[in-house]
Amino acid sequence: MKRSIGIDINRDKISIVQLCFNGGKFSLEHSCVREIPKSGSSEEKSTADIKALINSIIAEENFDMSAKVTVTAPVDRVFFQNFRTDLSVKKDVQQLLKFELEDDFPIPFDELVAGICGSRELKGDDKEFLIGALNRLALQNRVKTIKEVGLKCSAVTADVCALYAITSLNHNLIDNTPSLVIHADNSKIIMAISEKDRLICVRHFNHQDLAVDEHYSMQSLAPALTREIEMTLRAIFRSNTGAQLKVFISADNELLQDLSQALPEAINCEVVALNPFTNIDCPEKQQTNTDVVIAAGLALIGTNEIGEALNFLAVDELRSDQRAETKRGLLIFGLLVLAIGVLLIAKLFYELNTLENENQLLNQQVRDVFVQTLPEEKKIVNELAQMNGKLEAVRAEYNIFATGLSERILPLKLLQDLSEKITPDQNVRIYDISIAPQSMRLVGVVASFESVDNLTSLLSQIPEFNEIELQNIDVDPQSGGVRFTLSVTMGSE
Amino acid sequence: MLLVAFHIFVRPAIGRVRTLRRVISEKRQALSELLAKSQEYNTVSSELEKIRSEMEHQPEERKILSSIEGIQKECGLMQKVVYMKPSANTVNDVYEETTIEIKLQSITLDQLIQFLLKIESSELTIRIRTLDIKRGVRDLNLLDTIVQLVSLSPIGRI
Repeated sequence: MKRSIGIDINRDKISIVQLCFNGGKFSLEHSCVREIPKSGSSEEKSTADIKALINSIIAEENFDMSAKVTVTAPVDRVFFQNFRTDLSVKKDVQQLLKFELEDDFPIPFDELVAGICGSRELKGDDKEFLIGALNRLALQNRVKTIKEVGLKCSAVTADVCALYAITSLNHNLIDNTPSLVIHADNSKIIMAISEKDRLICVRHFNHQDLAVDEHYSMQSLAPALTREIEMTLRAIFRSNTGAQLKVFISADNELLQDLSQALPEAINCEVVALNPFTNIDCPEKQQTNTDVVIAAGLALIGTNEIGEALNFLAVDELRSDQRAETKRGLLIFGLLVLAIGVLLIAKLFYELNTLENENQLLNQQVRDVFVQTLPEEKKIVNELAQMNGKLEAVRAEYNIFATGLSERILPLKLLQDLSEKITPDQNVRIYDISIAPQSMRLVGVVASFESVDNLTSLLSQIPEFNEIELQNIDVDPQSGGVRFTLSVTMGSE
Repeated sequence: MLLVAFHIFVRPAIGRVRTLRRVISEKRQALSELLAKSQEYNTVSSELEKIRSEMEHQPEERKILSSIEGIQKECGLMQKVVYMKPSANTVNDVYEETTIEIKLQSITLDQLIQFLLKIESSELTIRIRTLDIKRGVRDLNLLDTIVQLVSLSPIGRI
């Protein structure tokens, strides 16, 4: 068993209906219509009056407080019927329409809540959507009002949607025949045109809008309304409505009679009096009560047992969800950035700490090496510079000794080498040998010039001899041999 | 707030990290250089110390001369010595070089070799700087020799 409450808040009255869906059947459990006291004061006062009135109705008529509540949108809702697009997915259209129609609604962009109310197919792949919109603040106020009463507001929809829902339930509209639904009460007239069971056009009139002259009269209402209907149909169907139009009228008897006469004369139509409770079990006295038509339609939508209807609350929540999702995304992104930032900073300070330790260790190592090498140094300013100074000093001192000590000869080794190379059979007579650290001079006499060359070759085999130069060579007059002088350069090359 | 925190904490830390990276690189290089120089210093110092130590144990010049005389005596050259001239030359503030020139006349090759052998193998830190050998004027089988010996010793040891 499913219970649903519909609340229709008008300028001058509030209608509340509670329906129950059980066993595939709808039944009317409670209904109530009350006039809103004309306070003429501020909006806050008016809202307080509405709350008080709903409270009293709910309490007095024993409405089910736990039932889902569907309420009419505030009166400043607007409709746009010419939104055309080749998109077919409703979700895509929903996302697109707000941006596309930003300039077509008298509502600021940030406060605009717009949803699809109906549609029709055009030639080709294009579709024309009927869009309903209202101000978010007004929507929130309406929801707040219901919540403050203690009811659970599940949907906020347009009165025309409720009218269409109740008409659709009670007078099967699911065919290709275009239909016209008219609801008139003391304050307003709602006109809805449908085709293929979809709303395609909505118009709202105040009684004053249809007044022929300054003085409004019920007699002039039917012709004026007929004229408006005629014009609207012509605009929508381009004077080609096709089959006979069905017109459902929910109005008082007088207007119903007037329109029943006037409309068939003006357009090809069949006028039917709308009975909201044809398919809803209810007491007989309620059958013709037109004051609860909208509220009954709202309650019907609330049961979710009929087709989908425009729900401004859901549209707004979807947007809120999207916003929340965007916010969540941004939050996650921010947190990620923050986490990365924190990680980078942590890494920075970790690196700083590591580098400081390494620097300290290097300082200590440098100091240790220095102190270990030069323990006598007490005043340490720059280890490397001081070490350089000390090394230079010790190197200079060493060089002095090294130079002094390197200027030495090993005569025995040289004499041995010479003895090995100059054998007695060569007949070489050495007269003079002068050995200095890097050089040697050899003076002697041999038998021939060739012997000098041979001797030079032999001596050049001694590893210590780098260069052998024949300085002087001549015939020795005393011995008759050849006297020579060899200069030998020694040492590493 | 974040900007202030960045300027107070993070920015100086970034600067310090950059400085430390540069400084550590330089210090690693300096340490490596210092180690090399330290090793070289130790080697040179050790060598120098060895030389110093030898010098410290070096007999005084008088004793060097007497030691050389002893060697000459051992080689039977006492009568062959024409002259033995010592001369000193300052190396630096601490050390001086002592040169001893010895002229030996009419000696045999064996005597010369014996003499040189003993000089080279002696505990004295004297080294042969030059050697001049000539055949004797009177007897071509004998040799006239001039040997220049050199020694380093601390100043004031004489």
